[in-house]
Amino acid sequence: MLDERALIRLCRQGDQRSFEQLVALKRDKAIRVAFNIVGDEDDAKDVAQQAFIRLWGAIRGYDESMRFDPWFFKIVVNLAIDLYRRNQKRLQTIAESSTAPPEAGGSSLDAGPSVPAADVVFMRRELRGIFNRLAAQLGPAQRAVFTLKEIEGVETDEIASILGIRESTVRNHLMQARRILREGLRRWYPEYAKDFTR
Amino acid sequence: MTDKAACDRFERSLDAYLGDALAHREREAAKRHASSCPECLARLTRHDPLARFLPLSLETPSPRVTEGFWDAVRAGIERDSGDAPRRDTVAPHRVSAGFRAAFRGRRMAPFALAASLLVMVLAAVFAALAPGRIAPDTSHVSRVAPSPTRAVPWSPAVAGGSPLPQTVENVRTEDERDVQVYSMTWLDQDSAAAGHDPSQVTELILIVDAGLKL
Repeated sequence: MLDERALIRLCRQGDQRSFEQLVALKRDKAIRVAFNIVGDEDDAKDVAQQAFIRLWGAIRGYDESMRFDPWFFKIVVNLAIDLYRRNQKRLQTIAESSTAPPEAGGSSLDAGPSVPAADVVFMRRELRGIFNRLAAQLGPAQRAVFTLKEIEGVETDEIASILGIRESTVRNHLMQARRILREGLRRWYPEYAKDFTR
Repeated sequence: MTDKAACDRFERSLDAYLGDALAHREREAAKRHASSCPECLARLTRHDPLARFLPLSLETPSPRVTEGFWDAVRAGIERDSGDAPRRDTVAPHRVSAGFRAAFRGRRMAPFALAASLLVMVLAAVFAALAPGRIAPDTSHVSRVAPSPTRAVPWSPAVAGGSPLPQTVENVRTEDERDVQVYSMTWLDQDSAAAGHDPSQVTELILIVDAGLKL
């Protein structure tokens, strides 16, 4: 398989086979980033597919002196934010309609030293539900910043470039997002926050 | 799987991590380790409960989501890139498409839309009043240079019958005026249900020219 740079060059020349490989290379991350922003796997799939379709139309104009991921994920994140904005009212209504989540409220996540591997898989699934519920309290930019910074490990200046905002605004969104999520954990999932409150 | 050396490195860097004193690369390395090491994740979450979400970075989409992913992307690309040529071509399925589909696709010229609406309204009126052939005396009209036959969008719901082919012709009258002649036929509901019977076909011919005396 060609390296990423060579693949991108061939894609710019209109080679659809290379584009298929590029899609395979970036697909999982694109879906994951979109999922963490929109909160629904099917929506995330739609966002990622649409992003790749747009990528194909735009890749001839890509400047190879720039890093590819920030350039591409700008498309993914902006599509995801647009969709999240459209869905946000509905998501907030669901989140505010109950004081305790039925699917995860009574559970406890014990990430202690002797957690078996099989439980880790279950924990991640449970964690996903909790994150989706808590993240529904965030604004689109806060959610995108938290996803990119804390989950994907993107640097602050790149996030600023992706979202078209200043670095200070990125830091502010991150601070707000962390505060809201922490409060949500304390309120709805005290078992998850107990170590912190000791 | 945990790596003792990696756990030791993480332990040593924990204070710097919590104090936000690590360089980006070191911080991300610490996060990657904690994401896959339950012991170190537990150490971290004692200080920062949001660190519990770090393992989300290891998630991979379910097979349900990835199945057919590329096929959908390719179809989307082909659909997008195929738009322009299709606009100039009347494909067979477009000719027989219903009024709503043609309207939704915005592929119908405004004049044709307005004319066909007029024709349909008049057709409904004529159909209600007099089944059978309704035709003006067109003996004084000489049909010269007819255009290729074109389909006119048709709404069975408006005319209350079963659609048959419709035509439009460009016609020049004896006094040298260019007009358009719309011809259409349809079966009423009962005849259509019983099968095509020419004697039950209603035909309407409409000559569109404000100054023409019939």
